[in-house]
This record gives sequence, structure tokens and C-alpha cells, in this order.
Amino acid sequence: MQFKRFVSFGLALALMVGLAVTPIAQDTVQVLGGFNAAENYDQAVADFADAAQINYSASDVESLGSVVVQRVRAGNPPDLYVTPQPGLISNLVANDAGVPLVESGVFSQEELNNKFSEAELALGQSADGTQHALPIRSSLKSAIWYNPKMFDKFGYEIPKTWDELIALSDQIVADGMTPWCHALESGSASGWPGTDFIEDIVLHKEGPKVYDKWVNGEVNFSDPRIKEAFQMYLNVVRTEGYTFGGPTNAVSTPFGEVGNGIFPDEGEEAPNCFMFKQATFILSFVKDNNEGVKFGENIDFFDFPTINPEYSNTVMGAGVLMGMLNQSEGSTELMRYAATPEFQVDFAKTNNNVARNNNVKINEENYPNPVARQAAQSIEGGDAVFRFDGSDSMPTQVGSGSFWTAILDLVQGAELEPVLKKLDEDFEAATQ
Amino acid sequence: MRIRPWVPWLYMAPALLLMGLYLVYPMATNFVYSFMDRYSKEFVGLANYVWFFNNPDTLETLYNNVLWLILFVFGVVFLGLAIAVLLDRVPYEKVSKALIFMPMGIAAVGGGIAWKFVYAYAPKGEEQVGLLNAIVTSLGGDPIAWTINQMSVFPIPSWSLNDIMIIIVAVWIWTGFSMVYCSASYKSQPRELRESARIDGANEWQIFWRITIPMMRIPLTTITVAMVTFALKLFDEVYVMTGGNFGTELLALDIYEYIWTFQHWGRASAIAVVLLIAVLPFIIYNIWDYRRRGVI
Repeated sequence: MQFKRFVSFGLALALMVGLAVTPIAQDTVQVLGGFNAAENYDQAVADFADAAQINYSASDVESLGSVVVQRVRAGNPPDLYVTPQPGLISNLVANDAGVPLVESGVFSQEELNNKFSEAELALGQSADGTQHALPIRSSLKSAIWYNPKMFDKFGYEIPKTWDELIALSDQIVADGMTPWCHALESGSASGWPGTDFIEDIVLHKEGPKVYDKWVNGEVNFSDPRIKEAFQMYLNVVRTEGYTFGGPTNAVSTPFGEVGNGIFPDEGEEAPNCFMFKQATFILSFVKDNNEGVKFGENIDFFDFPTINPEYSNTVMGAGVLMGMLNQSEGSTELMRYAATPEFQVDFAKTNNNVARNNNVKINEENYPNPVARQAAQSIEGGDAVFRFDGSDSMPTQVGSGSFWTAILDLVQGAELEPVLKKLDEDFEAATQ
Repeated sequence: MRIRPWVPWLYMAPALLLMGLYLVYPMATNFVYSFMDRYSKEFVGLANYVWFFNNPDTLETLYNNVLWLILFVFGVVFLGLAIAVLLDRVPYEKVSKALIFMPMGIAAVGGGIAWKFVYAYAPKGEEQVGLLNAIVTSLGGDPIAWTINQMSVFPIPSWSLNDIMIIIVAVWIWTGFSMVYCSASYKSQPRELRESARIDGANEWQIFWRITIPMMRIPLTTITVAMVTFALKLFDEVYVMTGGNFGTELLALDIYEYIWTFQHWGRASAIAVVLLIAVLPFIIYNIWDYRRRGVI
């Protein structure tokens, strides 16, 4: 009896372990993503995979970066990954993982150059310039949202430059109202909307070269140029009367609720605030939280105002990259398909995103949604110079750690200089 | 029949194997990792420990854990004991105990979210959704961001208002547990003892301190040790309510962050070892106490 029980227990255990380690099927291509990227990927790739008879399974995990690295360390990496953080690539390289896309013959360099701009390719390169991943969609972050109806009602005009933006803010304060809404709460990631704001200021004030150097750690946080950007941001958030509810409200409001303030409460003349800065994906949050939201009517966005006219064409955004960890026939084909305009248009559609392949034209057919079309115009149109959300490319300890908490401390009134000094120390320690 | 010497080992083998697999192996690996770099590739000696004890952030985290150790453990044990003894004397004991025990049935994450609503903040003049701020403002006060406000309450700067507000939530959840434990022990004490003490002229206070407490030593030490280990490894409430921001970070949360966000296995392992060493004396005391009393 005892023995039998022991055997059956052993069998059950073996079964459980077996189930856990058995791949779903040997020729199935595993795609691992984060932030619903895999779910969207699934929608965009299903038809192609059916036609090409490729078995694949796409799934999303929370904290994708660490799951991928852990699976690499455990010798069981997914075949393809879809990540919102370019910083993951260097981490994978440090763990001796990642299939170089050109060297392994997935793409030829010429092919890549035809499909993507140099800056787009740079997003997916490791420190030594090896192409490990490709951008497959982006969202716009250099956007300031407002309520056109309220702007009309009070006779305000869209500011084109930073000075005009500040003048407008002062005007709104003088009129007895509040110009800005700001929301930083995001669980343990609280503070990230503030890092976006500062990144945009740096990019528009100092241009892409300084921006890149700052992200790579060649320009310090304590550098006067970066320090000034912090001060400009803090002026907006900390100036008395500028933000609705002041700093305490900014740090305690969930980022998804930032847009609620631009619609006046029932029976009230003026809204709680007139503007907020957030990425294009915020629109779905605003629509979930408020009734009767219509893009172009009572909500719209304008491009981040010009600070230095020389860099008025710069634009900041986020997005996802796809890279390869196991090369097989199936994963190669899926990787190749992910770079095509067909796939990128479908993939971008799912979330007001923008395709990164240069051959995607900005028109109603490719971008049926006006928000995405406007964002595409900002990111891909004309001579726009795109830069990826810098904190996602910084070492995670800074970009997903102390930079976020620095924002929370600064908004609540911490002194700027010691905070910047600490960021520099953390950056140095993280790259050692 | 003589038992061959290897037979007991055979019987113990499955248990030993599981223990080895789930306990000894990860612990040993963790210990080794704590002396290695972030990718667990090269040995870095004591660097991770040097970092831990010289970094203002981790030290603040350590202080926070000490605050939890004091306030949380005292709160849970004191309230549990007081409620158990006092409720024994009232007719509505069962209902009250059921109510107090109820939070135990809620996951810590659920409790944290519920209390996040209680502590919710809206600027002055706006409608207060949070219960506590609704009360404060209806009495004419200004709303307070309870989970954010880092107003120093004790002389140690990192011990602040928001830490205490979160500790209250954990105490709310765990008081029921300690109450049930204390109550069971209290009820198993012979009533005659207390009655004869009363006849001998002892007052209730003396009975409590000289009879009730000494007879409850075992359950009280067990709860205290359990709550101490619990306070040291606490994670959920803080993760849900502040995400470790605003100076509420705890060691267990730090481990999580260093593995999952910063991917620094060396440091995460070092913190885990520090945590283990901090818990160890309490566990050893507990086992020693059990042995002494012949419980195991």
C-alpha cells in the first residue's frame, strides 16, 4: 500500500515535471512578448503563418525582459522575442544569447537598409553595432493633449514653442484656472511619465546627438544641459498653480487617469486642467474613463513645442522590437515577415501605433485611425528625426529604477543637485 | 528482525530528495550567487555585501524592516492577546471574533487594494473618494496622501507616516490569526486557577500578568517568532500600495526588484542571504524552545 502510494506519487510528480518541460511541439516557434505585444502579434501574423504552414505560439508575460534572460540562463529560450525595451539586447548579449540577424543570414545588410532608416536600425543593435533586433512598431510620446472645445471657449491657441507654452500656462493661471494635469502613479514603475517629459525636453533642446550621449552615459545627468531640462520640467510641475492638485496629486494619481481633467465636470464652466503630456496610447485610457470622448472634437494632441528651432523636427516615442534567440526555418520566416510593410501595417493597427518600415505610406488605408495617422506623420513623415524613449535604453537600474524614483522625489520638492549626482553614480555603477 | 542500516535512508529518500531539491539546492546556489557578479559569471568576493551595507537606499530599507519588526509584531501580538482575553468576557464573543478574523480570509493583495481606497487622496476642494480623507475633510482638515506622506513620525528619518499607515493594514490582516491562537490557549487554561486566585484576593490585573501570561508563554513566543519572520519577508502590502516608492521599500521587495527589474542576481542573492541571517536567530530560538519543552 505504502509502496503503491509512493509509486503513484512519483508518477504524478514525473508527469508534472514532464508537462512543464515538454515543448508544445517540436517545430512550434515560440514567440514571447510583453505589454500585450504578443497578443497583438498573434492577430497580425495569424493569416501569414496559416498560409506558410508555420506553427507558432505567441504569449505575453509580465516583466518580459527578466523572463527572457532567465530562460536563456536556463537553456530554454523562446525562439523569438518582442520587447518594448531596447536595453534587453545588451543584457542578452552579456548572457551570450541572441542571433545576429545579418551574420546568420536572416537578412542581408542591403535588405535592412532598404527597409529601415539608420536610426531605426540602431535601436536594435548591441553596443558593438551588431544587428540583433528590428523595430516593428512605435507609438508617439512627444505629444501634448488638450481639449479643443475648451481651448476655443477660452480663446487659447496651440503653442508652437516652449516660450509660448509657458506664456499660455501663465495666461491660464492669470485667468484663474489650472493649465496642467500630471499623473505619475504606476505601481512600482511610478514616475515614468516624468522621465518622458524630461527626455522630450532634452531632445528638443539639445538635439539627437546630445540625447544619444546622455542615454549612453557619455553626458552626465549633472551636465548643465541636462540639469536645465530637469529644471524646465520641474517648473511645469512645481510652479504654484501650474498643475492641478499640485505635486501631491501628481504623484498619487494613476497615469491612466491623467486625461480625466480636461473635461469639465457637469455644471462647471472650466475643466480641472487644459493640457497634459502623454503618449498616444493614453487615448484608450481616456476613452475608458470618460464618456463621449471623440478624437478631434473634445480631445486632440499637438506636437511637443519647439525649444531650439534647429531641432524642431525631433520626435520621441516608444515601441517594440523583435529579435531572435533560436534560428530555425520557422523562426527565420516569421522574423523576415515581421519586417514587411504588410505585417507592420497590421501590427500597428492594433493599438494606434506606427509602422517602422520605410515603405509604409502614411494614408487612410494604412492608418484608418486618425490618431495613428497623425502620430505616423509626426514620427515617419517629412524629415522627422526619431529617438526612442531614453529611459528604456539606459541601464535598467537607472532607466527603470532610480530615474523613476528621482522624478517622484523631485516633484515632491527634493533638491535637484544631489538627486542628479546620485543618478550619475547609479549609472556608473550599473555599467561597471 | 534486524533492520539493515540503509533501510531508514531508503524510506527517507523521497523526503530528502524533495528537501534537497526545493530547499538545500536553491539556498546553496543563492549563497554562491551572492558572491558573484550580476550575471553570475565571475566571483566578485564580498562586493555585493559591501554594497549592501554602504548604500543609503538599502540601509533605509533595512531601517524600514526594523520598524516593521517593532510595530507590526507588537501590534499583532498585543491586539490579538488583548482581544482574545477581553472578548472571553462578553456575550457577543463569537460574532466579534468572526469579524476580526475575517481579514485573514482576504489575500494580502486584496487587503492592500481595499485599504488603498480607504487611504485614497484627492486635492483639497475635490470630492474625497477615500474614506479616511472624507472623514478628515468633513471635520475641517486638509486631505492627506496617506501612502505618500513621508512626514517623520519617529526620530529616525526613514520611519514615516506612510510606513505606519501600511503597517496598520498588515496588522488589520494578521490580528485575527494571533487572536485565534491566543484565544484557544486562553480557553484551554483551567478556569479554576483564575477563580481561586480571585478568591485569594488577586485583582484582574494581577491575574492577567501572573497567571494568564505565564501560562500562554508557548503560544505567545510561537506567534511572535512567526510574525517576526513574517515582518522580515513581507512583500505584498507594500508592493500593492506604494510599489516600494516614497521610502516604504522592504528587503523582500528589494530582492524582487534586483532580480526582475535590475537583473542583478549578485545583489539580489546578497540581500536574500542578509534576510536569511536576520531570520535565523528567531528560528533557532523557536526550535530550541520547542525542544526544551519537549514539543518536538
